[in-house]
This record gives sequence, structure tokens and C-alpha cells, in this order.
Amino acid sequence: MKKLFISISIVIIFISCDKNSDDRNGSFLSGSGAFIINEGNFMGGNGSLSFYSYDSLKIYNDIFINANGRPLGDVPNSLAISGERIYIVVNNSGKVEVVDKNTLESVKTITGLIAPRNISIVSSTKAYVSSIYSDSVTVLDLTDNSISGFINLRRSSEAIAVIRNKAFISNWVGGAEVLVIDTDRDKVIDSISVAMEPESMVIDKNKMLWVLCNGGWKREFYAELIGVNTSTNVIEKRLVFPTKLASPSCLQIDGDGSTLYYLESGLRKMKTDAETVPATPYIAESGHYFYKMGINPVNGDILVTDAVDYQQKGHLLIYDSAGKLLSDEMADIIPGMVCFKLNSDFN
Amino acid sequence: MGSYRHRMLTLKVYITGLLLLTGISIKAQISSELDTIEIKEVIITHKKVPADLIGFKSIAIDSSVTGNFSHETLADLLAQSSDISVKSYGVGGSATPSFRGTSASQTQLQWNNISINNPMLGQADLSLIPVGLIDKIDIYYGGSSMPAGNGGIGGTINLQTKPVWNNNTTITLNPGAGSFGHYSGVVKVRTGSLSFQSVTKAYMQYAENNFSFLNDVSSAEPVWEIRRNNQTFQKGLLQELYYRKLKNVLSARLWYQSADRNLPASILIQQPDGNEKQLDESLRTIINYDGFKGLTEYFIAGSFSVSKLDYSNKLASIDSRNLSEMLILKAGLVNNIGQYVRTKITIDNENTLVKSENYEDNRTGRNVVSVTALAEVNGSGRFGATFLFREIINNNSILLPDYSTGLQMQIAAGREYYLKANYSRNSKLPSMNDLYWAPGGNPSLMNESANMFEIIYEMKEQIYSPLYLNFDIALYHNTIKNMIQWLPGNYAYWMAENVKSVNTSGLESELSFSYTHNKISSILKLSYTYTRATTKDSEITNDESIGKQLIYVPENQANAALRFNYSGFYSNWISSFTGRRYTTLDNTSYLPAYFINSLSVGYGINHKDNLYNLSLTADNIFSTGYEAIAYYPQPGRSFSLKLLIQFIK
Repeated sequence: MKKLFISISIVIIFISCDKNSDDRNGSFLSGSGAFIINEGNFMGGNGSLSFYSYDSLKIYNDIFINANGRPLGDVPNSLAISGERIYIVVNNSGKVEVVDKNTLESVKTITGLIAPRNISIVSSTKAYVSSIYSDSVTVLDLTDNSISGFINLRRSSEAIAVIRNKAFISNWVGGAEVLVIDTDRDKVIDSISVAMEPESMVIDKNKMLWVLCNGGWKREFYAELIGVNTSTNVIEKRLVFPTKLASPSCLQIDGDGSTLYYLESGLRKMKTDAETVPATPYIAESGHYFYKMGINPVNGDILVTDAVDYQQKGHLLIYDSAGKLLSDEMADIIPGMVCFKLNSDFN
Repeated sequence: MGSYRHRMLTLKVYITGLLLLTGISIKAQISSELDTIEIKEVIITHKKVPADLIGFKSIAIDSSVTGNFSHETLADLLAQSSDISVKSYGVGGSATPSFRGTSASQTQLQWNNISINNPMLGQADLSLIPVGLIDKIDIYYGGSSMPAGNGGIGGTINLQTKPVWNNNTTITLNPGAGSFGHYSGVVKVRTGSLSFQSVTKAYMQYAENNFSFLNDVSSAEPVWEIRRNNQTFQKGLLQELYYRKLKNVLSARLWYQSADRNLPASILIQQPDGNEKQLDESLRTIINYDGFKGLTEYFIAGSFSVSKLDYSNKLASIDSRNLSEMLILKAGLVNNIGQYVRTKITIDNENTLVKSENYEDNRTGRNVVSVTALAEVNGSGRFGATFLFREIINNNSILLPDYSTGLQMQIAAGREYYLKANYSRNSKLPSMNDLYWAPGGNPSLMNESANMFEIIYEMKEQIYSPLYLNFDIALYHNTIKNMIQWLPGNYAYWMAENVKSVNTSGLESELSFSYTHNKISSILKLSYTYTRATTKDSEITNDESIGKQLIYVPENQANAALRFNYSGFYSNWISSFTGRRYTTLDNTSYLPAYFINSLSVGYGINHKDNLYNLSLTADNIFSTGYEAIAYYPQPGRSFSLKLLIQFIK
């Protein structure tokens, strides 16, 4: 009996240690999943990083501070993966945290950026970072993780979409333009007048750039979804939202580049060849505050963040491609951008 | 139709109640005139707002405490010497009060009974008030704030400035200097006669506030850094004129105050020096007449104030300029009916105009009229009761009335043991920003309202001559409804909404020993405060904050102060403990507790009627690292030297 008790105790201790060490050493990061940027409260310094694991089907919170023993910063906004590195843009801290993809241990902190917002990997050696306050896009050298230069746009910048040797960068706050940059020369080569406040952009399978213009917060203009030919920089499609009260955001696209998703009083879904924007949501909010989302490029899962009241911890809502809720995971304060990290064996 | 009839019926009930109380007042006036000679002794207490409202708790902080903080701000004084929690962005940064777990906007700050809360924010920044200009501070807790005015659900802090009626001319020079480039000076001139007094006070303070702190969050290894972009320059001028005939006093007051500040960011935020700035400038005036006729006291006060708040953030291209004007007219009538009953009726009209680029049409106004009727019954000295009723008319809308009642019993005749209990319903109007900020201000907001219950025990005992013991303990419970919070709405901006109810409950206790014998005087004060403030319910789906302690409200606070005087030498030791404060609504993150100690020593001598006093203060003696708000470090050990020279002629 005593031996049995000791054996059971050892097993329990072993299981407990194993579980804890898995959480602590970040081994879950080696599998497939999605990073979730938790923006935290503005000036609160409580931004954080979470990871939803497709292996364990659970979310791991505070993974940056657990790996590095210090907080991520004030209002992290976006994240990009390049090779073995993850680049986390921390807006109000004016920095980019460079961490190891598999351990999240800090490799370098790139400081001196002004209100950085979004990052886009241009090549294996270069990335662009937009800025909500400065007139320039910051160019990062990914070989030594340093700032290699700036591209003066003479206006603030938000979303970035890269195709071939072009980067399309939107001028969101108070703007109505998309600027075109030659990524070989880091020079502005064109600008495209779109609609009021181009907030997010994606590129479809036909190499069409889709620009979601939310119409501005004053609701003086109609929101529009605009298709731009990325070879000619000419607008080829304009879908105007039916009412000025419509304020869409967070345009995303599926893995094969044929279906667009965005948030507007729920989650909306439409084919790229549709002639009107959808009249009803594909997934209703049902008491949630949908804030940001990501579409799994392999299986079409829809990961939506619920910011609740933007004060307390939010949720990650996981729907399958048919819109069925699979899971509701507690994230951290103001869960925002979702960035997938899928291994080659993920299906 | 039913609703209309119900409202009319309710209105009639209110008006009837008001008339009844007014009737008491009129009757009292007649009665008091008849009994002038008999009752005359009763009315010698000249208090428009009684500090000892029957059945309620209030305290006064007098010059023995304010003198130690003459070069500091009201935020510093209250943080170290009261049970009010102060949420501070660090030395030089803004600081707001929290009474009994309530929000900053549920505390009223007054200057001689006139509200000086910023009408846009609905709250006051305590870091803008230099203690050196203030003579006395009254603190009214919970329901005891209601006679003082509207909106003090948590409580009211009243700053008193007052004359000294004599024929002397007193000139006080009070320069000081301290660590972190801190220079300050106070000059006071009091002159006049037994019937006329002029009081002039000027204040100036400049501080670099460039203290060092350990930054253990911005990089892998902790680094000692210097706080930058933290300079403050404050100046103020207070001019008061008083004319007295018999007991009737006419006064005119003018207070100019300016604070020009660089605002340092959180240590997690990188921004260039001089990026964020704030200029607060205010000019406040009060004309007041206190009159006595027989047993009737009355007062008429008019106040006009202009407050400017300019905020700029170069990075964000923000240049926000805001101007608010307040015209306050206040009148009151106090009657004593016999020996035991005292009534008071007050009419208060506050007219506010805000000019801001952030409002529709760049300007918005509001007019609030309130009528407060108060009756105090003090039965044969041992039993007492207070009844208060208030009606508020907000821009022609009659609001639900507020009311309060308090009971008091002297436990044993001739002994200073008191048991008190009170119940109040109090409310606070939404701030102008909550109502009219564009976008998101919501003109349909309801008042935040509270039901408040409190039991108090107070005692004073002479242990043996000359050692005295004072003890008091207050237990309270408040339920606050319709708490306002800004939430994301259906559009691309947030809106102010009434969404939550909050419970706050706790206890406040203080034990003090005072000893005075020959040249020695000493006082030891120990206080402890427990505050449990939780979200009760919410209209937010799956609100994780329900049942959790509100953020930045410490459950435990304690203070200890030991003052010792011997001949001209004096010392003052203050220890203050602030417990854990949660920083997230679900209480999973918190700032650790901290324990701060300070010591002042000084020596004063009188020479030919003049006073010379030199004092040295060491704050945060053990250089404790702490934060009142996350990632805004507070300074370690600092020293300040103050000289006071007072010429009396």
C-alpha cells in the first residue's frame, strides 16, 4: 500500500512537473499555432504576447515576459515572422523587439522608431515599418536587426502590402491615398487616390490589391472596398458601403486568395469577384466586441479577437471555416493582431 | 400618461418636502428673533458648513500639519497624512484622490466652500494645489460632504483661507531648496486691524525632478536611469480682503495659479524630451458676505473662475486648448430654533461654459441649480440627528432628489464617547467631457448615484493629566450605481455609457495619544484604513471584473506620525504604508505594497516678536523604490531645507 502511494505520488509529481515545464520552457512554440498581440491599455504598459497552440488546443499568455523577465511594452501592435526571428512592433514604446521564433528569447531591441504600427517583410534582409505619427517609413536591416534608413512619405502610414518589387503603403488617419514604393530603391514611385482613411489591405490570387477604406471616424464619407491593379497602380473596382454609418475594419484574405473577410458589426465574408459588399454578417458578434482577426491560410479557421470593454482581458474566439465556434480562449488585455505560425506538416 | 402622472406626483412630493423644510426655516427665524437673548450663546460657532455635522465623520487638518508641507502639494500632504488614496503619476505629475474606493470624479475639491473641480474632467488635480497658500483643510467623508455641495459621493476636501483678526502686520518669508533641483518660496503678508484685514500670499516652485530610478523593465538587465522631461514650474498669488463689522464679514478673494509642466512618459515609452507638455492656469474669485441678525446667520457668495488647460504632444500632433468658466452663486440661511434645533437652507447655482475644440460648436454650457435643506437636532446634548434633502435642477431637468440622515448618541453623560450612524443617497452629475466630448460624449447619461451607510464610534479620554487618548473608527458600505465608462460603440469611436455598479465598504480608524507638559509636547497618531471596492454588476457581457477589487484602490493603508516638540526644537516622523494595488480588472496583476518614511527636524526661536525657523526634511529615508501608477517611478531619498522668517509689527 505504501509503495502504491509513493508510486502514485511520483507519477503525479512527474505529470505536474512535465505540464509546468511545458508551459514554462515554451516548448509549445515549436508546434503550429497563432500569435496574438495583446495591445494592453494605452499608457498602461501591459501589452503582452499570447500563442494559441494547434497541438494542445489551448492558449498560452504572457509568453514574452515569461521568456525574458520583462514586459513587452506599451501597445504592441503588430508582428511578423522572418526565418528564425519574430519582429514585434511596440507602438507606444517606439521599438521593435526581435526574438527567437522557437524560444521567444530576446535577440535585440531596435529602438528609436516614432510611433511604429505595422511591419512587413520585404525580403529576407529587409522590412518596412509604418508610423502613425511620423512622415517616414522605417527601413530595417534584418541581417543585423538595425535601422538602415527611412523613406519619407510626407504623411503618416498604416497598412503595408508587398508584391514583387512594390510595397503599397496606406495613409490612414485623415488620409485617402496609397503610396507605392520601389522596394529595390526604397523610393516612392507613385500614389493612388482611394477613399477616406485606407485602414487595411490584402493582395488576392490575381495580384489585385484590396484596400479597405473605413470612411473616417466622423462618418462624413462612405466606406469603400477598392481593388487596385498592382501592375498598373490603377483602381479597377470600387464597392461602396450602403450607409455612412458602416465602419469596416481589419481586411483579411483566405489562403488561396479568393475570399475576403472584414469586421463590420460582426464578421463579413465575400468572394473577390462579388459586386456588392455583404448585407449581413457571416458571423454575428452575439455580445462580443470583435476587434481584429486572422484567417488560417491552410484550413480556413477564423480566429477573431474580442476586446470586451477594452479594459479587461479579452478573448480569442476560434471558428471553423463554416463559422462554427470551436473554442473561446481567454487572452490578455485588448487582443489584437493574429499572426499564424504553421509548420509544414500542419493540415 | 401613467408615467407623466407619476412624475407630477413625485414632483409634488418633492416640492411639498422642500416647502416643509423651508417652513421650518422661516419659523425658526421668527422664533430666534424672539429668543435672541436667551439663545445667544448657541450661535457663536461661525460655521457655514459645520465640521461636526451630527452623525457624520469629518476631520480638519490644521496648520500643525500643513506647515510641514508648505512647499509641497496637496497630493503630497494627503498621501502621507490622511487615509485618502492618491493616484499619482510621480513627483510633478498629476495626482487625483480616491475616497473610500470611489473614483477621482466622485471627490469634490472646494476652496472656501466653492467647487474648484475642473468641469471638463469632473475632477481635481491635487498636484496643482500648493499647501503653502492654504490655512486649513476640512475633509468630509461620504455623506458628510452633502451640506458642502453636490457630487462628493466619496467625500469633499475643502481648502480654507482665512484672516487673523488683530492689529498686527505679519510678514512671512519662507524660502526652501531641495534635492532634484527643487527651489520654492512662499511669501505671506497679513496686515490690517480688528475690522479690516488684507492677506497676500505668493508662491513659486521650480523643480527639475531629475531623480534616479532603477529601470528593470526596459532591457534584459536592470539599469539606473535619470528621470527626464519632468520639469515643473508653478506660481500662484492669493489676495484676500476682509471687512468686519460686529460679526458680519465681507470678503473678497482672488487666486491666480499657474503650472507649466513637462509630462514624463511611462518608463516603457520612448519619446523625445519636451514632447508632452501641460499648462494649467486658473483665476478664481470669490466675494462673500456672512451676516448675523439675531439668531439667524446668512451668507451670500458669488464666484467666477476661469481655468485654462492646454495639452500638447508633438509626436501625436496634438495641441489641445481648453477653457472653462464657472459662475457660482450661493446663498444660505441658518436658523437656530430653541436650544436644540438648527436649520439651514442653501441655494446654489453653478453655470459652466466650456470652450474647447473638442466639443461640438467649440463651446458648450450647463446650468445646475440645487436647493439643499438641512435640519440638525441636538437633544439635550446627548442625542442628535441630522436630516438633509436636496433637489437638483440640471438644465431645466429635475433630477431624483438626494437625501441624508444621521443619528448620534453620547454614550455616557459627561464623557466624550459617541456613537454615530448615517444613511445617505448622493449623486454626481456626469462631467462635461462625458456629456459633450466630440465624438463619444453622451448627453443622455444618467447621474452616478450612491446609497451610503456608515457607523462611527469616537472617543476622547484623559488617561492621566496631561496624557490624552483619541480613538475613532468608522465602518461604511456604499453601493454606487450607473458608473460611467467609455466603451466602443457601433461607430468608429467610443462612447460614454452608464454600465456598472460598484460596492465599496471598509473601515477607517485612528488612535492618537497627545502629551503636553511644560516645554514638552508630543503627539502620536496611528491610523489604519481597509477598503474593499468591487464591481457589483455590469452591462458588459462576461465582465471579469465583477467581484474583483477596483484597480489602483489599495485594500490596506496605514499611517503613523510622531511629532515631538521641546522648547524650540521639533521633529516629525511620518510613516505611511500603502498595500497592494491591482492594475488589471481581473486582479491578476498588481503593484506591490510600499512603506515610506520621512523625518523633519527643525528649530525655531523668537527674537523681539520675530520668529526664525529652520527645518530639514528627509523624505523616503530608506530610498524605497515604489510606484503609485505602474511604470511611473517615484523618487528615492530626498532632502529639503526650509527657512521661515516671520516679522511681526
